[in-house]
Amino acid sequence: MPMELILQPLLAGLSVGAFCLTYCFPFIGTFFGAEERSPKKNFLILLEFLGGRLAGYLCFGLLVGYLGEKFDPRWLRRATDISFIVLSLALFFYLLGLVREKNFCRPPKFLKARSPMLMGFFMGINLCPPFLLSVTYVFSRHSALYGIAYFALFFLASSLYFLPTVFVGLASRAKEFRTMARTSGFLVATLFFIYGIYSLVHNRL
Amino acid sequence: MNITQLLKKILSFFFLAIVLGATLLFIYRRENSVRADDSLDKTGFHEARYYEPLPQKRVQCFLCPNECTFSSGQFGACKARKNIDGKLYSMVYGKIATSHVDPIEKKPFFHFLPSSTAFSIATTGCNMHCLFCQNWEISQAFPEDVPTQAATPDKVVAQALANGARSIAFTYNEPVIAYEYMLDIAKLAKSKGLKTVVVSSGYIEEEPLKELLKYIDAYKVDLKAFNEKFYRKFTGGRLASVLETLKTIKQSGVWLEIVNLIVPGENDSDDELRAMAHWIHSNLGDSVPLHFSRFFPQYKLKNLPPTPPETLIRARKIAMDEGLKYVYTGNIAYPEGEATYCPESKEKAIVRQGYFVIANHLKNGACPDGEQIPGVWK
Repeated sequence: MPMELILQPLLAGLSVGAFCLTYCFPFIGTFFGAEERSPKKNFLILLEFLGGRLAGYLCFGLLVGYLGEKFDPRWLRRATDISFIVLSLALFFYLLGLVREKNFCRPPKFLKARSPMLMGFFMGINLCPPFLLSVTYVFSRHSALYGIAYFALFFLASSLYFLPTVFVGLASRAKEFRTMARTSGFLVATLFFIYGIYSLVHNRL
Repeated sequence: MNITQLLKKILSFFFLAIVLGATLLFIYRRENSVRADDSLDKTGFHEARYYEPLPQKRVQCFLCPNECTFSSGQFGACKARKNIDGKLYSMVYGKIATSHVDPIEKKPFFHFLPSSTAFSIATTGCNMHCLFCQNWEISQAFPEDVPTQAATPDKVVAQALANGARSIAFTYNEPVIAYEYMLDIAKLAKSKGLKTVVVSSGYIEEEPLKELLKYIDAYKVDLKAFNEKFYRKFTGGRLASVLETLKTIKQSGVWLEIVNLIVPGENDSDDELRAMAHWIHSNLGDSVPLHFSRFFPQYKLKNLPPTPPETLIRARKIAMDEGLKYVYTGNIAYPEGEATYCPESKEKAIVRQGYFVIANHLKNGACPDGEQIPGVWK
């Protein structure tokens, strides 16, 4: 693989990684702030989130690389609308699990345990501007293999910006902060859920 | 409440603000992106206007007098419009090759909002192929040949406003080839109180021109010569079409200024300059500003010398003798040719140096003695 094909996704990831973080922070930040955990545990959760994000990237890399120009980029819009709804539900159930751990209406354990990965996956396939840029570039290569490789490298470079989010977990030792993180989580879930439904209903394809 | 508790509360609210801010920013940016995508079809490109489908997925474009006919997969002569599977697309919509905030005098417009700035943008491509083009790096390029910046019409207008510009200028390369993009920006700009100016070779068909003029405040046309031979040899265009464009613009009431780049030995004879000035006077009136501009060797005409300054001064005199009231010289240091004069009193109304206004004695376009100078002054 020529050097240009490796450098292109790495540089793209480095240049837009901060944007990626901005888009993911409402979810990942809430997750770290809502529960008191050790830094090690937080780091593992971050890895799980990033793993989910990588899986999302690779799935789309495969699809976009395989389909090339046959792929209608506007289909991503509908997929993103659905991902907003699923993401907000995942966050909502996770938070509900925290406040209603011993009561009825408790969400399934799997959902709570796997929430970071699930959220990472759905954030990974989100139609954020950096992602769109990459999709457009990969279109032109007409190669599923290159699509996967591109998104894997893009993921690696952009993930560097996520590492500092682990430190949000340090603030979660304070009860006030945890409460606020949960409140903001519910607000974020509600906003994204409403927006996802709105966007899906007003489907402007 | 002790300090520690206060800090915890502040930190908590700060976190809430960041999370909600990022959420709202995400939704806002996505909605903008969705709105921009709505103008695209499944190819991801913006369908062009003014074309007709032909058998076997061929199309014919009627935007400019080239009237290109092309098969599927081919670009037009402008390198900006492409036939994809029997439909014509603008390949430069939303792709800015360069943008600057320029003094309006640089365009040049001398009777249009003096001292103001214009947010100036360009895409790639051109429907002429002038051998002396000063912007050939973008005008003779395909969209993928040069780095471009994605910008929706909303973004362009927002940037113009943020930069304090009074107008948006479609310039540097030939803006007509990005017709749909220019039209969308111009419509939006007008609704936001910005003025719009076009800097063009005037090589456009009448119907699209008339539609465009509804949203344009000023039009500068490069009248490259006053003989068909020059047009054929050096530009790839046709003089007759450009003259029709000039008449249409003048009849529409949109402010018009003309530039003539004088290339030594090619379009600088007394007869030709006189004929040009006479035509302008007879068809467009005596108040259309005419700028004679100095040629410098570049692109494919590096073998010619720069235009002698005396040639421009001579051209100005010929045009004024033919009755034109506002004739200027450009690209030379000649204060007389850079100033606007009150026609009756012969007093200096606007004094310029290069692209900058040194003194402006006009009040709403009126000289101190009350004589009105035509133009757009506010």
